[in-house]
Amino acid sequence: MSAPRLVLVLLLGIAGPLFAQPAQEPAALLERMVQALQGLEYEGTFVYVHDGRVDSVHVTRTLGPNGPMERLVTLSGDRREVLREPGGLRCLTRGGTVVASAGAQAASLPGRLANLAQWREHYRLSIAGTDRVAGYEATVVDAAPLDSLRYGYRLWLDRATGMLLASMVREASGAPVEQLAFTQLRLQQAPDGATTATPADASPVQPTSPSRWRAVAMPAGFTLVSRVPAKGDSEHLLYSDGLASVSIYVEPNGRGLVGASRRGAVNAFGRAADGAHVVVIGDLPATTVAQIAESVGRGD
Amino acid sequence: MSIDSKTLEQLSALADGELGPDETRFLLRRLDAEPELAARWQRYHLARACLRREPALLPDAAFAAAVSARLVDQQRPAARRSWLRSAAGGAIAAGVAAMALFSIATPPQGDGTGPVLSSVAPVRTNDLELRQPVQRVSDRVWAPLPVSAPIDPQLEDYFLRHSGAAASAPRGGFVPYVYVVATPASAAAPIPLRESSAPPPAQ
Repeated sequence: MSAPRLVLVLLLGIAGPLFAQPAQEPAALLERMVQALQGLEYEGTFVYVHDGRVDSVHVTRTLGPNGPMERLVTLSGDRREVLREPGGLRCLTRGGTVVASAGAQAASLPGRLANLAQWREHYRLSIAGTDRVAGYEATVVDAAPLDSLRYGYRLWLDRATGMLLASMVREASGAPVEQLAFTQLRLQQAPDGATTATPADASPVQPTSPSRWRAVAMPAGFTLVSRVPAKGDSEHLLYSDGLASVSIYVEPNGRGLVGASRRGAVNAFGRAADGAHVVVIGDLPATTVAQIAESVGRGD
Repeated sequence: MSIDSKTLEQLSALADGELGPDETRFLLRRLDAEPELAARWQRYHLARACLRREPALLPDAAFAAAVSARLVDQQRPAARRSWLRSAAGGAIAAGVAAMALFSIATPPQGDGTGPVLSSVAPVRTNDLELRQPVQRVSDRVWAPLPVSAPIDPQLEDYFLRHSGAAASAPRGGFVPYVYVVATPASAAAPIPLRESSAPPPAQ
């Protein structure tokens, strides 16, 4: 072998390992996913497999000076649409009938970001492999729960931006509960002057007093991340362990769901408690949601 | 007919632009006449393309050889000193190393045309199996389509408000809205709860 080729071989042997894609920590990949989901503009179509159905949904997200705007429209089955604007949130059906609406989502409490670190404590994170989704090269990250109180997640993340390309929510046993995968996706950076925070995030409404309601059976790792303003004495508390979120609604004079209901991986359970009606909704197994709901009561 | 080691070395040198003009002309004539040698020449380029993560388009053997020959012709005859030759080889090597860096560190463009090189264990198809079997096509043809569950405005309201609040949680973005917008096939239908085998949750 001639000298130049020998040099070439030696250089490639040294340069290859040095310049190879650096080993990425799964926790760091999840951090990038959070930034991409909230900091990018995107438009695309994904399929959503849930409850024995396959739906296709078109999503658009833009970022403006007043915060993000999102629009999701079903392309199969009944026409449904979710529209999120800085001023509120609406769910519409065919003909523009408003099914439900909510005001500005707000009152993020300090410590919300601290939840990111909790991933390590309640999920075993690992890289499952590589794949390709909607034409994007993806790194597949597994978040396996360390107990049976929560779901596990398999996430396909774009290698370039960290954007979530596909996801599978699984029971602790590994059985899929719901799946989502983009078939077409266009990503772009947010324009200058855009913000990911809503006006409500910028001036959160801090509760003047701690909530009088407690959920004794809240699984370890779930911390209060927001307390959304509600009418009268009603309360809406949001807890998260970093990946899963669970809402507790307390309506002093409310009536409504009694027992369990489900949408994909999101379970709900309602019951009467201490003179109020309590509804718990979260992407947790039905048994966990029921246990949380059964444990809600006045803490004073 | 097997290819002897000397010819292989000449092929390698031709690919590297290091074969002398006379030897190049001789080897090009052989490439035209010997299909086995031409096939080896193509495989040689394919291997190089794979090493550089380039799209593996097989070049026409004669075309590629002619290009190499032109490059050789443009070089000065072998009157260079050996140290200069080594330095040039080093520069080429550094250039190739830089290409390796570029091709590895540059994120894919997402247009679906690039090669797929799995570095870790691939995701198994079995992982994508549904927990509940999908209805067979024949069933769907003859069975009436499922009617959407009646909408319970209050429950819809709870689901929507939860998704709005969860959108600011770490796994936020559009994800929390997906189950709200999807067809509520079983939204209002109570589901049986199975007994939990989980240990009592800790506070």
